Amino acid sequence: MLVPYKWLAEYVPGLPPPGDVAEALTLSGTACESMTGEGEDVVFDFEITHDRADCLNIFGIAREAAAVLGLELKHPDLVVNEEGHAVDGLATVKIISPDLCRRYVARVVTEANIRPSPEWMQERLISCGIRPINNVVDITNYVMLELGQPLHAFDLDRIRERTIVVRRARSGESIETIDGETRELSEDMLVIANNRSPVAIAGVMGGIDTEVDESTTQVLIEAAAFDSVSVWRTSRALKMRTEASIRFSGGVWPENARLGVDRAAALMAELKVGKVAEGRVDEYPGLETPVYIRLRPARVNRLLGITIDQDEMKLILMRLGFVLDEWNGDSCRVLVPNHRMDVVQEEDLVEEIARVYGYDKIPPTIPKGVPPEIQLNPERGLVSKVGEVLRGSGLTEVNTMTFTSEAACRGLRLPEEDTERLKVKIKNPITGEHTMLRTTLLVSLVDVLARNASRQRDDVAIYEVGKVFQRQRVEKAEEADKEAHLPHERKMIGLALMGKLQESTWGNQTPDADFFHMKGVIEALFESIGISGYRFEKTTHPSLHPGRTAKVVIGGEDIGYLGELHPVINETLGLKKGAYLAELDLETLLGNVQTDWEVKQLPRFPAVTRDIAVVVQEDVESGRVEDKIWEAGAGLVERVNLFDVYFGPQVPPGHKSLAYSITYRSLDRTLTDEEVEPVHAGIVENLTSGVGASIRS
Amino acid sequence: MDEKAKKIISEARKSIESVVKLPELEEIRVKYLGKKGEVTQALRSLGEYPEDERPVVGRFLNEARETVKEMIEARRSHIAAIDLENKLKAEDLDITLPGKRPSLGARHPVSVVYEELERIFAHLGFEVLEGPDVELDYNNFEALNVPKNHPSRDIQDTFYITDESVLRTHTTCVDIRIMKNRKPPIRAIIPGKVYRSDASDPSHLPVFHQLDGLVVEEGITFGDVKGVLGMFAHEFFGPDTDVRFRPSYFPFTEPSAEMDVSCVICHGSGCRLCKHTGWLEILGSGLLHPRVLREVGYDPEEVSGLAFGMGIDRVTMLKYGIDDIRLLAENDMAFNQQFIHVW
Ligand SMILES: [Zn+2]
Repeated sequence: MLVPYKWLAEYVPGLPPPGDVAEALTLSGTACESMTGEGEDVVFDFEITHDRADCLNIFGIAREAAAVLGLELKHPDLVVNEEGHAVDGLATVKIISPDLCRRYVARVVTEANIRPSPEWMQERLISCGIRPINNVVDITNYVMLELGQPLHAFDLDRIRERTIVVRRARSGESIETIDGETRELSEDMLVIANNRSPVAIAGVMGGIDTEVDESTTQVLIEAAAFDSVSVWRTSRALKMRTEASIRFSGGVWPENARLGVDRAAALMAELKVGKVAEGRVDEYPGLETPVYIRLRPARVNRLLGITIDQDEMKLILMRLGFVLDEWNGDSCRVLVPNHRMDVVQEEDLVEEIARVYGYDKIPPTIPKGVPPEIQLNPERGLVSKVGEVLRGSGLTEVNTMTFTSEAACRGLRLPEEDTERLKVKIKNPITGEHTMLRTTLLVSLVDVLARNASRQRDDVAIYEVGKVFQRQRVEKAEEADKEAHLPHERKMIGLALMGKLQESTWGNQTPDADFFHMKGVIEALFESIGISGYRFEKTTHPSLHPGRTAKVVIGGEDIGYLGELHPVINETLGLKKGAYLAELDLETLLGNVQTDWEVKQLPRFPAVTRDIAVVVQEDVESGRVEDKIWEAGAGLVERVNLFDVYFGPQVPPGHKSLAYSITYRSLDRTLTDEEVEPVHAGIVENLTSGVGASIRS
Repeated sequence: MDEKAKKIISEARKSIESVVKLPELEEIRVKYLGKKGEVTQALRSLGEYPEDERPVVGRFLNEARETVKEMIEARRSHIAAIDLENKLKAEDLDITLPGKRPSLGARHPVSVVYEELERIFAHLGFEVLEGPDVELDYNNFEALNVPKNHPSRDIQDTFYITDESVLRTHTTCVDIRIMKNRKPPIRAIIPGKVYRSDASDPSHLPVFHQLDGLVVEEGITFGDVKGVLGMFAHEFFGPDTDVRFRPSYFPFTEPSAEMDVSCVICHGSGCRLCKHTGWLEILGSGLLHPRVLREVGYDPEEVSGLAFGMGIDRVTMLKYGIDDIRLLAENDMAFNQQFIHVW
């Protein structure tokens, strides 16, 4: 909120220079965001917290400044020079909905002469960001800025039968507001109406029909205490945020309505706008009940961790306008001033005392209790190790937004019916790119690949540990449990390789990543986190190459999948190199980590190594060949290493040659050739019978 | 010693010492020790000596043979060493050619900062806990003293999933889950993604990161808020960092405080980053509001709690001098890989 220093100084005689004021207010909770101008002409911009609507005005800030700085507070002049008729004969007010309007005060000015307001007033309005209109409107705005009471001026002659009715809008009613827009009203909105139709949206904006202009001769000034929630909802529904609606939404106190209307009337008389009629119309169904709080100085000190004596507390509260009874034992009753709508309980008084006493004077301490026993979170340990291994493998961590859109899912060829079934939709998205939560990390990873490719970065190796979201099916029995309606959130490890994993250097040309690089990264990762006994099985995935996709299975459970990005997607995204993606379920991984692991004794006897070239039909998977070797190994095979795969003229058409190096070793003796030979022959036999292999020497 | 033997040794030494190539050394060996070599010949002509001198001369000549042999062998290994040294010198490298590096990936800066914060708070016995991104309206708002259909909802622009669930606007909602499931004492930090319906610009993203902290036990004071967070600021921003606490407003704390640290750029003298105030706003904090304590079934007269929350993206930007928050979400390799050196 903009506050000119000079205006503020009018209410606080002896106000220190602007810099000191800004500092004192900032440290007591009214943060000064900026100061513009020089010397006396400084205009502060204060950030008013949501609970302090009483500070959304110059006098409110003055009240704070006086309390914090220990200065005297001077009130604005409220003496109204009344002339002419009694107001009772000029206008009538009826409150039909007292739940939404606690008070409605009105004054009337007759023989009005509408012209520009004086220059000093116009200048002040402009310095506070408000455009001058005419003397009547300017005075209402001036008083709103000064006291925080929103006012509205009606052309009284244009209000049918000079009767104001405060009621809820009726279904189908609409109003053209002073900005020239027609607003459709609904039944939960409060309006100011004449005997027939609305003339203003209460607390938000007036209607164009009753607007004050040059032809106006009689003015009704409205000062009301409308319900804050009602005004807030109306202004949200109509998307109208006005100076008035901001203040009503923050809260107004009925007492201020009388001050506001009197202050406006005083200024109208003083600036000779017209004759102020005698008295005010004052409908006040929601009489304020005083708020009392019990203050226990011991508790204040206990919560703050200090020892302020009770008289100092009393002094601080009195400076802020609180009224304290006599001490009754170790407590006393505190009456909250009307404008402090935010203070309702003892803790609020604790803050009041602390902020004026000075947060900086409270000594920092460390909690004195014994720290609770904490449980280490195994998932965080795993995530940390996974990151370490993947970075060591050359993958860089990414951190993406969890949003995506139906269009992006379609772009990944994900079946529409799956997306529809699984998606967690955002009710109020702000862009078409972020309409739902991602169901897979693929969308985010592919997005990163595409962005980098568009910036000539074609060699990308990345990983992310992030959440994916799926809508839950809610069983009948759980329907009442709100928690059951929340989506299923799973943490996944996403991997993507595109182009070279390692830069080519002189004398060392590195190939672009392929399926087996990705598989190798996963194998190395699994080994390093203690996952074994898993298998890769062929599978398909709508986003991946139909012939180059595998899933990882452990004990019948799917851990995840990997594969080459479907070439069609690759092309659409403009990727210049093949991309390989994988997604692994973190929780399943965690569940399969082997923790009961022991160090093996070092081999004490030498190994015997035999190489073997196995010629099989092309469609025989190497995994099956390897299985056959292990099967016939008689417990002597220590390691099987595939060191070459050959297709070409050396083998029959439709065949391939797989060259293995088999290591035999016994833990308790040196193996002899005579011992190894029959086992090796058994392996050859098993390969011949099991996968139709012939052995090439 | 026999003159002959002496002569042989001295002549041989002279020629051996002047030799620098192995073939020449071999020639010398043949000359002295070969079948027709001088020593061999001399030994053969031993019969020319009187009988009583023969054993002595023979011994001298045998000694001379051994001596020459040793000299030749010594010279041979000397020349071989020099030859090897020369050969290796010829194999020199242009050591300024680039090294063949293993490729290494970098951590995302947000993870770097999270890890550092977890380490700092671990010293004070804080446990890391997490909660769901899609949260009940109740946990995110109502239980934190922000009623439905209330103007206080304006503080945070919220993405709604259903009428009862939202994308959490802070990780403070996890405080409610923790407190409902545990009994004090509690010390926890809660990292995670949070959401606000803000359009992306240099200082806003609709998805960003937060770290919330929660301590509930008997006798927690506002002084503890200052102590715990001041310690964090000094650990994280450096021991010379100034810290100040300003009164503020959060629906779930009372009293509430905003913590500022002295500007990381100008150290308090004023610059563009700190809008010439010398201070940077880092986090919100306070004592848990009694309504929140009652909501989770605690008695505000018996226990008190402190809570704080900070935006990790902002802290990351301050720490590394990043001027556009969107860089943290873009994952341009040219950006992410710069963090390879951070540890
Ligand atoms: Zn600065």
